[in-house]
Parts: sequence; structure tokens; C-alpha cells
Amino acid sequence: MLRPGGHLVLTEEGLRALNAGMSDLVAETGARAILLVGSGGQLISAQGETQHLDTMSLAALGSGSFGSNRAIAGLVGEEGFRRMFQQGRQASLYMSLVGSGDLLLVVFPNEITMGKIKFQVDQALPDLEQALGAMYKASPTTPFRAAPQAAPKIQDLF
Amino acid sequence: MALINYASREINCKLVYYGTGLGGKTTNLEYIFKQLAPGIRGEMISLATETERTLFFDFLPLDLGSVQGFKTKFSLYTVPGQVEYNASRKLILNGVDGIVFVADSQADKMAENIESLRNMEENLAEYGLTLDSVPFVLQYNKRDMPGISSFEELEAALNQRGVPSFEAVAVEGSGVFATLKAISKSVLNRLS
Repeated sequence: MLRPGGHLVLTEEGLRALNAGMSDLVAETGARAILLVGSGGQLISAQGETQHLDTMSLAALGSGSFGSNRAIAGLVGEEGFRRMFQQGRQASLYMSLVGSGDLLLVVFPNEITMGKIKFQVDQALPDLEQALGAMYKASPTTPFRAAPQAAPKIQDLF
Repeated sequence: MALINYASREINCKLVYYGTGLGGKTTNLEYIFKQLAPGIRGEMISLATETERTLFFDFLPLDLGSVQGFKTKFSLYTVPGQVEYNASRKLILNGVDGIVFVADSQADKMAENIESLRNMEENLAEYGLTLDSVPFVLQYNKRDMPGISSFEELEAALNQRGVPSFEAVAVEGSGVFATLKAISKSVLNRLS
């Protein structure tokens, strides 16, 4: 679990574990793409056919949409919805909570049933949560020592 | 929550523009969007009502290029300022790395500014955060309007922490990039 104001540092080894799990999930489900999104809407990783997708915007909007649905859950007396499904004509979206605040977003064609996606995602979640949890736990509070040297670059940029 | 990817050498930070309704938060993002080359910024997404009021949030991704060998990206968000949209404001603050509070300089908006700042502190507390733990700058917008509070009056009412503050006319771009530079530096410094 992330401490207040904490950061997430993705290590090579940890990311390899996440990517392997997500890549397997793409292969097993036939999904078009799978995104892992941080609780604040940042894209952690994406697997599948992502080259024609605006993954950053998809992550931000998916996170906002899922977050607002979790708030709706509170209004109807639920502790929090853990899954969300949006059906389109050709492609659909399935979102599932990972751990306590992150999000797995699956884009899949309508030839594949939602039940199959849900089943396979549920199978994959424990490994993904373990890999992500280990990186949260190991993340230092000051992960970017060279940051102050960035000031001149920012000054010139805008 | 800043995301630091050591494997691909990437940093991703979330900046939120907060403040009263019609204070100029979206105008800040629109100006940044218009001025920056497409290679630096992505597409701006606005979830707005038919009357152009922000309904949920605006989103603008920026790619600052390589900073000390790390590809540095900022995600800029605005919140809806209208009082009744507090649930949305609270959601947008999730994972925030830096805040720009956009105050409306018009004297008759002072009470709304103070209330919005108080509301922001209350919402940050939901995530275990305070204005001392999150990088924070102030922008006094609409300096071209008649009947505005003086800079000193705004400082006395809103800037008790003595954080960097900027006068702005966001619709013309004045003060917009000075504010963005200040919060960007402050957020990156907090990571070191």
C-alpha cells in the first residue's frame, strides 16, 4: 500500500514480472490491449496492440471513470465496486481494481465474452498484485536525486 | 504519486489546477496547449458541460523531454470549481504531485477563494496529505479585471505559507508559464 505522498518506483525486474503477467493475459484472453494504471491515473505499463492507442489519455480517463464509479458505490451503501464493464459495438472495456487503488484496464473485441475476460483477469490478479506490491514497498521517498539539476532545462523549455 | 520507471528511465508526475468556478483553470491549460508544439504536449481532453463549464476534469499530457537522462512527463489536470462538484474534485486529487491554486483576483470573489482553499485542504486530508507535504504554488488570475484585490491583500488572505505566487491574465497567457515552471521545479525538487 502506498503511503500518503509516496512514489512508485518501477524496477527492471518488477516491471518484467508485471509485463510477463499482462502479456500472458493478452495471449490467454485475445484482448486487444491491457493497461495497468496507477490510482492517480498514471500509466504504469501497457501490453498488446498499443501503438495506435492514446494510452496516456486512456489511462487518465479510465481512472477517472472507475474512480467515480467507486464513489457511486459509496452512495448506494457498497464498500466499493471492484469491477466495471462498458460494452461497445466493436470493442468493449473491462476494468478491475488491482490491490487497493490501481486499475487493470482491458480493451477487447466483442467476439470475446466478458465472462472469459473476468475469469482470466481474476486468475492473473494475485501475481500482478504481488509484483506491484513489492515495488510499492521498496520505493524510496527520494527516488530522483538529480532532480535539482533539471531546473535550467525547465527554464528553457517553456 | 510520482511514477519513476528505472527500466525505461521515465518520470511521470501529476499536477492539479484547483480553485473557484470560472477562475481560469481551464484557460491556463488551453493557453499551454495552444503555445506548446505538438511534440511537447499531447491532446487536451475536456469533460465539460454544453456551456463549457468543467464537468469532471480537463487533462493535458506534457512531455518535457530528457531531464538528467530521464524522460520527464507531466499530466496536467483541472478540477471543476463549482461548489456542488466536490466529489469530482476529491477524485482528481488522488495521486497528486503538485498543485496550482488559481485564485480569482476580483475583490468580490475573495470569500470564494478562501472557501475553495479550505475545501482543497479538506480534500487533501482524505489522502493523508497537507499543503506542507505537497508542492503548491498560487496564481492570482484576472489581474486585468476592474475591482480587483491588491497583490498584498491576496497574499495576506491566501498565502500564509509564503509559497511562490504569480499574477496572471491567463486568457492572454501572462503568468501562465511562470506558474507552470515554478510548480514543475518544485515537484521535481521534491523527488530528490
